[in-house]
Amino acid sequence: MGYFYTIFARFLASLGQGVGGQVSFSMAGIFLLSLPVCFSFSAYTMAILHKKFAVVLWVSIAIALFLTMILGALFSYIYTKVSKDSFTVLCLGSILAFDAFVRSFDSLTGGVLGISGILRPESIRTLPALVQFSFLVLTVILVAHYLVLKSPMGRKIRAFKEHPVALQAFGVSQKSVISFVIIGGSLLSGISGLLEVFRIQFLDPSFGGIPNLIVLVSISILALKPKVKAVLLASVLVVFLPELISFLDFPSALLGHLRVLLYSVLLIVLIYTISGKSQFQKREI
Amino acid sequence: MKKNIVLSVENLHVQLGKRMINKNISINVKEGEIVGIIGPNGCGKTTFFNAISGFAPIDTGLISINGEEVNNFTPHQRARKGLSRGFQNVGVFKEMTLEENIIMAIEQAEQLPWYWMFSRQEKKRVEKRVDTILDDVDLLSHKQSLAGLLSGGQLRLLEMAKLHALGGSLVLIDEPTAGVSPVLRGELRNAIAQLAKKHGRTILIIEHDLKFLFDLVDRVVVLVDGKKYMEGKPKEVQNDARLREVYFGT
Repeated sequence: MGYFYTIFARFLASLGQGVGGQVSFSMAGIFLLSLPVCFSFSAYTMAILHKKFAVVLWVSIAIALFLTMILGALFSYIYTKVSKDSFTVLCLGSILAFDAFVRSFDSLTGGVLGISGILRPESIRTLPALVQFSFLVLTVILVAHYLVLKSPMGRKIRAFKEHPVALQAFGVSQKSVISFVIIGGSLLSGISGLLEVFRIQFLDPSFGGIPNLIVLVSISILALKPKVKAVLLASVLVVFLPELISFLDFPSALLGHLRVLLYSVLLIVLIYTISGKSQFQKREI
Repeated sequence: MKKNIVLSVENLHVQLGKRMINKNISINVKEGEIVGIIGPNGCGKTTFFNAISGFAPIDTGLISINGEEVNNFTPHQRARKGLSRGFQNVGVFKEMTLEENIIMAIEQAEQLPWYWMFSRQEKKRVEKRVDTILDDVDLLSHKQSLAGLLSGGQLRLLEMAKLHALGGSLVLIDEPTAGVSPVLRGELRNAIAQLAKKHGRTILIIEHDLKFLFDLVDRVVVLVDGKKYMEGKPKEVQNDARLREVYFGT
């Protein structure tokens, strides 16, 4: 039973981050590759505040999420100042920079040994309670996501991807859309990071990073259509499908690599399918 | 009855890179007027529109919309001041349905709250408005289709519908007949004329099809080499000898 609770908890954390990824990658066309940084940053901030500075746990969580939003605001500002390509590279660089920071400042972060014994809040001390809490949080997130998709902001985000100049001519500020997408995505990644760290109760430099990015990008690309159903199905596919490999007779050392290989194959198949089915290409011929 | 000046451009200079594209252009456009902007390719017509709508930086000069100086306003701020803009490459969202395109325009024009779609009454009202606007341009039957599946002419009509829905007192339309069949040009002309006569909008149009333009506009401004060469009624402009040489090569 513990195994299913663990997988479900992982699914819920991935789903939260996947929502942020769907909005930024698929809907807005913003390659927000810094989301894994926000995922790790919120977890580390909470752990450091609570364990090193003895801040009350719920206050640590609130501060961590607030600071994650500030980090998102910083990325949002940078997006308006540099080209899209430069921003993408900068985001990738931020993952490496954060990893280097965590490894170097070991008095704060525990370095390569990390921070162990991270306690969950009193009300969600057990794994089933954590899963129930995560389910509640994700229900709120998905309802909010549905409202955004149906609201004017949802249309503005889709319009921003396609024709940002025409969007301005509609009287919509590009900066408002960019800020909403990047800060919102960062916050969702921060929430996911906290849910995940409460599940494993341990933090080290391998938390988040490139493996997290691969999962996030896979969900975001699979959830191409701006629908709640799309991100739900994408998260199910990305989290549960590789678990089938666990039941096959592979050496455990290979399982992690096989997951990554499976995500890569999924992405290639999807991108090939999308490029072949482009209906507007047919029109232009 | 004295008409207000909706758009005032004074001594406009626009430089892009090392080249001065618009040189000392001044123009006043009154409420309800339809003014045509013509000139040879590369004379700065679209740059002129970009400068008015905030998409090109102004070197010197003054632009006022409804009596308010807008030099320091961003494009979206000018749009909120009553400026609507059409684009050469059609400013509609092809990955949205026609309905969604018009809904976006209505949402902006009426500043609808984010939850309006969850109010049955409001949803019905907006749906009715969308139907009326699309019916005016004969696109109601394509309401649920993606805009990207429309023909070039139909996209132009959708853009007219969008400009109508956006409201605003001043409308800039850039080469509306580009890629449009002769049959649809008539509908396009009617749509533009309706915007001005029925809905009281002030319109500036850039156009190369002079027959289409001269039947529609009250006044024509001719740009040559970035400068305002002449301004006058369509007949006056048509008969100008030097213009015929510059524009038609006759």
